[in-house]
Amino acid sequence: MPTEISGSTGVNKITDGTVVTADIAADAVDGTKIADNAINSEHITAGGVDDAHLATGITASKLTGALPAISGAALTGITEPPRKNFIINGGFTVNQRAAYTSATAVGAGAKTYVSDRWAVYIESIACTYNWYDATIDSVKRRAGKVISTGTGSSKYFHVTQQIEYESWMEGRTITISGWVRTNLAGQKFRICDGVGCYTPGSVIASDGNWAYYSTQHTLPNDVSSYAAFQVHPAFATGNFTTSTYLEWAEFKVEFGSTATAYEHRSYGEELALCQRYYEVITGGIGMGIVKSSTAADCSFQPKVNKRAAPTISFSGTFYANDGSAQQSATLSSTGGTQDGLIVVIAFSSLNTGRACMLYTPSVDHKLTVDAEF
Amino acid sequence: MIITNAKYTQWQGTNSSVKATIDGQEMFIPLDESNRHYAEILKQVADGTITIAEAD
Repeated sequence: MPTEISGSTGVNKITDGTVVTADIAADAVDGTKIADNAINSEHITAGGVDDAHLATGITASKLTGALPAISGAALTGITEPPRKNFIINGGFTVNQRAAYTSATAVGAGAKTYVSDRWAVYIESIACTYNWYDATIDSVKRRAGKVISTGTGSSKYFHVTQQIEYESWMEGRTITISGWVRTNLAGQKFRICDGVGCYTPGSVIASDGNWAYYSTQHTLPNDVSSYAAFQVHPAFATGNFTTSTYLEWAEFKVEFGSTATAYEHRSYGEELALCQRYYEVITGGIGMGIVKSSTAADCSFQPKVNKRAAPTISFSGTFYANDGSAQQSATLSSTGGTQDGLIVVIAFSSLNTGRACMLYTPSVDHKLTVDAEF
Repeated sequence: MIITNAKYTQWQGTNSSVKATIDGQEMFIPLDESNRHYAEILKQVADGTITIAEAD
């Protein structure tokens, strides 16, 4: 017979297992019956409380200890994900063309690619380029440096990186940011977006001290006619002496109206991004077929598909080997696409119809593949 | 760019690239206008600055 348990009859003791879940009707115990801190967390099994029973959520004071994993879908209020810098090699870590650890000559007015993706020159004035590790705001940051070696008035620095357009960039606001120092007055960030060139933001101090700047720009609503937009860390005409310089570090171009911290990529990741535009191949280059005693067609695929059909050049010594003899080889023609390339090589004598290998004896001898803007 | 000695080269019997010396470096440039070297060659040809010799 059911027995009513009341405050007057009481229960002396309920032993373990006496009351099982099936014995507690739905909603038999509501929140008002459970005093604050009555249930220790160790008595709540994993999955024991589902989302529907967290009516008023959990206050921050209840979130102690290590937090469990939070999925990206649960994160709101973040307008753009990380790893969003459109600038490639902003840290000057990739230098496929040369080391650039010391001042390297750049011809007057000659657009010259230096550290990967960066092109520099000064209008009508010779200059040098190098990178170095600077201490900026108490932090070691790698900086690029251009310094004039000639003189001239009403000239300008042309330091730039071109960023490939995609249709999803249309009409978006971007923020350009980075550290700059110069001794040339009147410099400002510059962006050329295809429609025009603009110098938004503040004038960069010409006191020779590093300072951080940022500014915004809205990209055109239709970029289908343009291959890229380009940004300049500083631009304005001025009077150059033999020691007029521009230095820039940790440049960033990102969507949104707020400049966020510079984010370093791994060397491998940065290198792969650079190789879409420029690549050096040494050692084993490719395989081919000897089509006559003095010529062979060789094919190879670049490590990264190129932006456009690339320019190919040789530097140093090359060999072709058909398994019976090794011959010095020269390049006589090229073909192919941005994905797979063909080089026609010439040599003094190999065996027609044999396969052959094209290679260089060391890293000092190289084939370059150039698809930069 | 200073371009000299521009000449077509062939692969499989058709013009496939331009061999030229650009700023002192011998290069093989594809016939693709999105390639900056070829774009400059076309510009200098249009300006009458250079001509491209036929392939051998």
